Amino acid sequence: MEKKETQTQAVEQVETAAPLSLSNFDHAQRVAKALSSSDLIPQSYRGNIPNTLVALEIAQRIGASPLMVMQNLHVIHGRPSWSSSFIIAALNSCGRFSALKFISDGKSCKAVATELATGELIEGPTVTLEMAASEGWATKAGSKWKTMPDLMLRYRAAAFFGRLYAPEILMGLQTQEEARDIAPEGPKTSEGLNSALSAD
Amino acid sequence: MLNELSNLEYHKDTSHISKSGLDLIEKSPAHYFYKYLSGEYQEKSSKALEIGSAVHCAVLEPERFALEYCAFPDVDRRTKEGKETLAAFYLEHPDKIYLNAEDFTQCLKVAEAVKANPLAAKLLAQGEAETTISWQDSQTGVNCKARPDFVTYVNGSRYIVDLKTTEDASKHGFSRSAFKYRYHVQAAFYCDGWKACKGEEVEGFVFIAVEKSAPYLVSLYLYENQELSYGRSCYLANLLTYAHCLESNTWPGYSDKVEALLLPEYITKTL
Repeated sequence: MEKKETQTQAVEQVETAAPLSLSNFDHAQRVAKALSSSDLIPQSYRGNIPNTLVALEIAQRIGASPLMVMQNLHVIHGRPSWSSSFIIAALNSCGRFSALKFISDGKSCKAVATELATGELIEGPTVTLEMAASEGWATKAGSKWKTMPDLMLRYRAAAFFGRLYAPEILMGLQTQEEARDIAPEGPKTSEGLNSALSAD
Repeated sequence: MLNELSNLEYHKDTSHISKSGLDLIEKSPAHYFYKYLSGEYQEKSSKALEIGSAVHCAVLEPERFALEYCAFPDVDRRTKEGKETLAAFYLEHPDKIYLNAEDFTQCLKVAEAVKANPLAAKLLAQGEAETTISWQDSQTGVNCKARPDFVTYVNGSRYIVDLKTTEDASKHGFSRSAFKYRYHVQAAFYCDGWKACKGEEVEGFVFIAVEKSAPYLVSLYLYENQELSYGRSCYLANLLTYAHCLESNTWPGYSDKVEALLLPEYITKTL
């Protein structure tokens, strides 16, 4: 019971404090430690203080709640990456654009929105299935490009739109789908090196 | 260019952060500030560091080792004969780095042991030693640098090879010292750095662990994906802290409050 209370207090503290401000440097580490032992946070942050610190820092930078960031910031191959739906929601609610719309013919897709300040229609780069094939995104094991190409086209079109017109929202991070698509082929294993050395 | 810097100049450069810098940030930003920015830190010539450089040179660049290093003669400097031998020695080897006979032998023994290991020999047969790389980390904007010991190709894939001399190169022993010295952070930092600087994928980061006493056993290790991912999270956390400190020019130390002193975790786990 006491542990639960401590975890809740830690969550409340980071909701209100600027966790990584320097006056709070040591505090931030302790908050990350407490938070990472909480059952309320996603699995990839549990017991992982470095990941939790990164999420706290990003939450502070974009002015979002650390818990929301942790729900939407996935650690793929050790890199923080946003869920695509979070990017779309963030673009829709940032106040600079109308809600994102997708123009798709099943083989290609682009995200469009109206810039509210100027009334100008803004178009993101077109993403195509051909691009997914030639970039090697569609050939990864378990790739969603094979099973849900429509959704993947929209997700990638939103990521491209965001990166071009609202990079401050993406903060240079990829979406989790991008992180999976560009992950190096095959696991780095000692077995892999052993067979490479015997083949060389 | 960083690439043209000598070893000493490379370590003195503060416009880019290295893995050693990240280790200090991990300890506390105040430690980083003291060593790299305060101007108060005096580099002490440490015997361990000197021998470390010599061993690296003997293993990775044997031709350079033969040219630059030599063993100091074992003489009694108080005798006339000893003084004469020394004077002749200095005349014969004016610009060399002198190691005492024991350390010189150790370097050669370590180099021999690595060369005799078929896997290590294969890895070191062809490649580039001590290439300096620099890059800007895409997520924090921090300028970074690294100097991989050796970069090689195996069956068409690129590997970074790092030589570590150690008291214990066994799987269990090396795993402990590797974690203590944060080699997982080094592996991830170097692999990502190479990709960012050269645009080329690195397949893996291999450690050649060699014991520094007889029988000079050698063992090779490689961190797999999970460990590399953890190392990546660790260095990213350090870079974020460093970026904050740089931005505000504030370099905090430990807690400014009285802290509860806890028992080590391996004890509390058993309670």
